[in-house]
Amino acid sequence: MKTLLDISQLRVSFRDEAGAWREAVRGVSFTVPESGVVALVGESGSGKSVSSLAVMGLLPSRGSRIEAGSSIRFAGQDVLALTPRQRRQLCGADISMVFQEPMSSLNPVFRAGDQVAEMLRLHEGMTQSQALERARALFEEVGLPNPGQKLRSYPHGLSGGQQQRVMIAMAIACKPKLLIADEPTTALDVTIQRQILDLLADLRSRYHMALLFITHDLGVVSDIAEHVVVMRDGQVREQGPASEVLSAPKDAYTQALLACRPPLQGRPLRLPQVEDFLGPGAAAGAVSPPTQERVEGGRFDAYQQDIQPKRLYEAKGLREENLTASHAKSESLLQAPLLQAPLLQVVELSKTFQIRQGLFGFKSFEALKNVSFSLNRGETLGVVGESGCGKTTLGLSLMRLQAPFGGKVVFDGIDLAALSETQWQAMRRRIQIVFQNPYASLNPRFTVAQILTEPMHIHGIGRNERERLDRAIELMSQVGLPVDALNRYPHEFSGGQRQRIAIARCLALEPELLILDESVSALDVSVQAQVLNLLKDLQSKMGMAYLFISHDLAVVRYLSNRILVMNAGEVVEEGAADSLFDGGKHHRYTERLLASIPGRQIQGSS
Amino acid sequence: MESTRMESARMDSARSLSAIAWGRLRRNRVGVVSLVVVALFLLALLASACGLIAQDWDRQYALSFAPPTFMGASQQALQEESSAWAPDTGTQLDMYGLHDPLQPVLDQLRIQQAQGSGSFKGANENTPERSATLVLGADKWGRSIALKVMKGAETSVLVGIASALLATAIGTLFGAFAGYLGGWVDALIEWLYGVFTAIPYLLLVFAIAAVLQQKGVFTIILILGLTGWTGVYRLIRAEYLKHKVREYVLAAEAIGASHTRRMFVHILPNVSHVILVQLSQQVVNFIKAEVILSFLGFGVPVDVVSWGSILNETPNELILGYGWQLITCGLAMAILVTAFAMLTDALRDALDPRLK
Repeated sequence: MKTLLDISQLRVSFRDEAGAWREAVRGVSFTVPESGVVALVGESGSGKSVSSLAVMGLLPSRGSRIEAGSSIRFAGQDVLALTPRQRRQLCGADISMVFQEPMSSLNPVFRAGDQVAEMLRLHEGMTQSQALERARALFEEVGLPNPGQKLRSYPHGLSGGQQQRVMIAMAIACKPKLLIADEPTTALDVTIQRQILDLLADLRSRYHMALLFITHDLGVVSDIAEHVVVMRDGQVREQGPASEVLSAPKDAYTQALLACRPPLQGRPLRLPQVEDFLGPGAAAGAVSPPTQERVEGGRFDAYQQDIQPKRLYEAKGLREENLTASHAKSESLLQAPLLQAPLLQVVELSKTFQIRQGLFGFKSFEALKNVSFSLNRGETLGVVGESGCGKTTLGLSLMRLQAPFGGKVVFDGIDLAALSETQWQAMRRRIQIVFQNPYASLNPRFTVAQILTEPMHIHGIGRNERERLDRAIELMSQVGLPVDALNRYPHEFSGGQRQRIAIARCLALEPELLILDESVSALDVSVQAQVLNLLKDLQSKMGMAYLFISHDLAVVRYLSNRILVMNAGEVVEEGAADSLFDGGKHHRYTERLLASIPGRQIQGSS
Repeated sequence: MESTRMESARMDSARSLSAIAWGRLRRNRVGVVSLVVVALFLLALLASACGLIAQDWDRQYALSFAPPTFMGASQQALQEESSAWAPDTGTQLDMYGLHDPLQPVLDQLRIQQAQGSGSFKGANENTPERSATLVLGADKWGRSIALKVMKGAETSVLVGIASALLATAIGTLFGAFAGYLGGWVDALIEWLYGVFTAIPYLLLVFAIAAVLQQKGVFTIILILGLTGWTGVYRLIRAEYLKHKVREYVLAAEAIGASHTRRMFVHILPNVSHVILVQLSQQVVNFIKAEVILSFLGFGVPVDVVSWGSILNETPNELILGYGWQLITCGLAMAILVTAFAMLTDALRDALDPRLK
């Protein structure tokens, strides 16, 4: 197969605020064959997007530079030597790109049809009416319903999946030889992700174009790619045919990435973390994924599997007794609740939003329809559903962050809706929430010490500042943060560390119920594993109940005892976490969700 | 060992936020320079207010419109003047036979001048020697422009900063309440904003001046402060609307922070950059607005000098070709305003932990 894109020794530097140049991409080489699919995989900061932006010439002209010795050749042509004008002609026509956020990559003030037509007028020299005619055909091709009407819609009138289809229509409008897709499905729901992946695969074979697919999700990779390039810290860790890299990874980092996703079968006590593979104690190939299963309440024997000697834990310096001790404790905590009344009981909770329509009219939108469930002490209830299903509204309603609501919420025998503001203030100590985005949920102007002591201030915990600070230091060690981080600001931390800070803030109040609203969704896979492990440890230590809200079935299943599946504000199914994956009969919607999980084959094998 | 680490962490967090910000500001070269410039201006203000400098700014040091020293005495001006006064003998007009009673005196003067015995000695014999040039030139009455501008800074900077602080404070408070609370509070403040912006600016100034019925620096500050808050209000309200639904504010609510706490402890520091930038712009605007007020007669009293009153004199001087008062005053204003704007920029960077 002929090589279409040949990147060799690509090095890209960025200028930091001190004015020093730092290399973000350090000597990356890979090729994309004609009409082949190459996946560029890596976590945030790995340089995968920067590499693709370098190909498109989209790097900021100030503050970034491509170092000498780098070469990007497209169809034999040296791309870096082109004039800006030639470059513009190449990009869009022969190389095109689809970005992550369809909403922000479409211009909100132009109609969808006109935006596609602009491409055609610029590159193919069509007239406006010819271009619109072609755009209509393209819309049909990318599977937009009612293309004639969608041509005239503005981006805000389209759903996320439809917007991404418009972006794809724009990208393939000039029949490019190479399509670069930068995390095209990350912002979309699983079922929509599945549709977009199918569409991309279909278009690729129809147009005989090559696809450079950038993603952090190995599951997606296994579904679409023929060839995989794994990147970390601006370097290529491993590359090769997808089947080889995913089933028999040679590089420790790739192994770690594959292992730290929560598996769909079985339930290890702890998820492996990247350090387990790359740390000093882990010799390459010596690590086997831990197979000890976490035990579910009442279903102890069903998950008892052979317990292998855990070299992994030895490598980390953890003694087995410790593990089994905490294991036993969590077991007793999990079995205890069966004897008591539930901690939280939600009865026919409803929530209606009034949307203003026209001058005086209102349209009501039911975000929650008669949702009922109960949650025991020390138990984890998972809530799964796609965006707009009401799962976040559920969490916020429980915290009274969104009011008023119909139905009843009873916490430890107390009806929350009936509480006055002062009574509720006291109750807040017992229910806490961790939000999705650790970048947004911490006040950027507060130091970590301020963030952690604030809830104590408000609720009068600790007699003086010194005591509160001591407690904050204790919390930091509980969530595994260095003590000297106290005086730093949130922006100085990585996403995972920020989420630890957010968790520590909740722990300051020693809640009995912790609502986790997509709390690990914004994190990289390896970091996600660390935070999930932390949540497990904390639960077994403190016996908190979790309401774990997520769109990610694998993560929910890993952490939860029971799962609630929600769709359009309703609970469509409720059951034990493991019964969801046992292949039995499920609600239609649940089955659709299950079928959309990317990369079931590699998940199954790991 | 652990305990010493904990101790040092505690010590660290005891180090106040302002100390951290100060350390950051000191590393910013532009910030330090502009801080020094602003500080110099403020020192000059203080010194002139205490009467240490520019006390005798209204003494007549030099000839009317004496040029700056570096330009040299204006020969041309003197010559023009003398040629205008030169006796033109043969072309005397016969005023239809009328007799001018001053004619003999004028003739006398012309003869004296033609003899080259100097300029206006006779007219001002009791005043001390007045120089032909001054460091930065002189105004119409021969007062030193350098001293005048220094003295003028006292009023202008005070008016600029005080009224900007007042306007920004009102705007921020209103914006915070309207944006954060919404509902009828928002409606009420929006209505007030509507009233203030609907009335033409000058009319509003007249109205407030009429109500205050006083002239003076304090009145000017009040007038500018009470009319100038609308722009700040609009921006701050928008910021609060944006921030109140952010997750960190929700998180604050979740841990039980009160409304006041969320408004002023959580959100305010996060919109402070907007406030600071507005403040620096307002200072600049109000120094200029003082000119307008002076022009309208609501400005400082005649015996007080300000940059506004100085600028008010300059149009006539420009017609006569004397630009130095405008240049000096303009330069002083430009330097202060630029330094102030850069200082607020540097302040924002220093106070903002999210360095770009």
